[in-house]
Amino acid sequence: MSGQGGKGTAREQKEQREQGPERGREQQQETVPGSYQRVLMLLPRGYRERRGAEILGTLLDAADAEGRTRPSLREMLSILSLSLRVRTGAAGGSTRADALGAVLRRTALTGLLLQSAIYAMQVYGSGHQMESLWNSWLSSGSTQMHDLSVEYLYEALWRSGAFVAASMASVLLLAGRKRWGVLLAAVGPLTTVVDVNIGDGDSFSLAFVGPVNGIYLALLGLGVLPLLTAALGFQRFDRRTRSVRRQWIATMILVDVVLLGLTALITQWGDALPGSQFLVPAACVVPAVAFVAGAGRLSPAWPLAFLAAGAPVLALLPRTITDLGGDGVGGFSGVSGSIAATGAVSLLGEVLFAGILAWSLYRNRTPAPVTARR
Amino acid sequence: MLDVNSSTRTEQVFLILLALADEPLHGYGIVQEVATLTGGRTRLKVGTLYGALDRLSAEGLLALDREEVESGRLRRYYRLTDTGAAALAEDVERMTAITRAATRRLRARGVPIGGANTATAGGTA
Repeated sequence: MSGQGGKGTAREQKEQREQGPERGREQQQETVPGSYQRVLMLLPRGYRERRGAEILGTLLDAADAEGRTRPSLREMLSILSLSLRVRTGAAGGSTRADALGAVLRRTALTGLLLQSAIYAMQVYGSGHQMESLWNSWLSSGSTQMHDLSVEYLYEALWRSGAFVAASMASVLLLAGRKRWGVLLAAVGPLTTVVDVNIGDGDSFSLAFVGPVNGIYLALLGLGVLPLLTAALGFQRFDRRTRSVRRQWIATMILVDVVLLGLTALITQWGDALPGSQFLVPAACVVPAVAFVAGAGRLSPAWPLAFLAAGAPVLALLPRTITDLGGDGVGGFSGVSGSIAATGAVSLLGEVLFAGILAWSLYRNRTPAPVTARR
Repeated sequence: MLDVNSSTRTEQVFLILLALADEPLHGYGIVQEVATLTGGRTRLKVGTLYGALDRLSAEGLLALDREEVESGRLRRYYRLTDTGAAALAEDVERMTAITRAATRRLRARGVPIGGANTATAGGTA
């Protein structure tokens, strides 16, 4: 068989078998080049203790066959990738890695859900603005259409794309199609960059500087976080995630429909009501807190995921402070709630999530081992 | 109608299962066997190999056969379980059906092609 070179004589093999794997590990430690030891240090300690000697043997076999004395770049990158996967819940990792993977996956799903809801509301906002401009153009009797209506049309188009991409990304990730899921999750942050550079005509650097533009930073964070957590937390063809696909799709549809309906109601009839700018952010936070409180009874994974997924929205806080110190409203009142109100409600939500997380960690703590009294 | 999505195993995983169909092999043995099966086109990376071995072992498709120390190197030999053999057979059936359909269509176009009834696993995986 081609894969069993370097066997030695039958007697040598018998002796080696009798010496056992522990002796083999000791021998390897004595003779292995430092570069291979350093590559193995990339692996988590528990995994390295279980698999390290075996992987080292395979690396050294490959090095002998190719006449090398150091690991190749390809091998180093491959071990680095394995290390990341094992640390984030792939098969073969520790229970702690499993827990981290669970939090990463939940953060990705929550972030994508939030993103899809925001883009759905933004599409509605662009459509509403277009309708207003269209009506004013018709009533003015002008023959030239306002340039802004075309701009809002473009906005509505790419934001629709981002909405579909964020929704489909979660479905694909849950179906085990990681590559496509991550690719679609990248559409969100790209849309934010496009929004900044084309939509508002601002320069990229200007848009992210200063409290007034915290909205871009928040949106970029809301896009990048699910992308990173999806790339790290989901494994290709993971059977564990498929069972929740239907529930998640139903949740996405329900959340999007409720938020869109509420936005439409406020825009049409409730704009003048005092406090209406708080309704949409509250409609996100209140059910989320209720859900997290329920899920937190069993595990701290959901509270931690919601805390992480909502954190980028805190980039709105400087704007909240500025606006609430001024006219008290600020931002896009009526279409998606004011920026100031969103920042304030998000802060409240994050504080509640943090509280629930602390409670959940306490509730689900591992009992200390009982020691016998002497 | 052919259901090409019925399997969620990648080509590399298929090749690892196939490499172990004859006899138990250790890590580098699998790398070499996969290279042989594919005429040198596929060189398994160590990270990919051990990621797949962990997953396939967890799914019960592979099992540890034995541990040996050869030339001071620890070698763990893996064998295909009955579940693994059934999964491999399922993949082969699926690819055979695809190969048959492809051959039929190419012949209908007048493209000369042989071996209509068998699938060459390495070439179609």
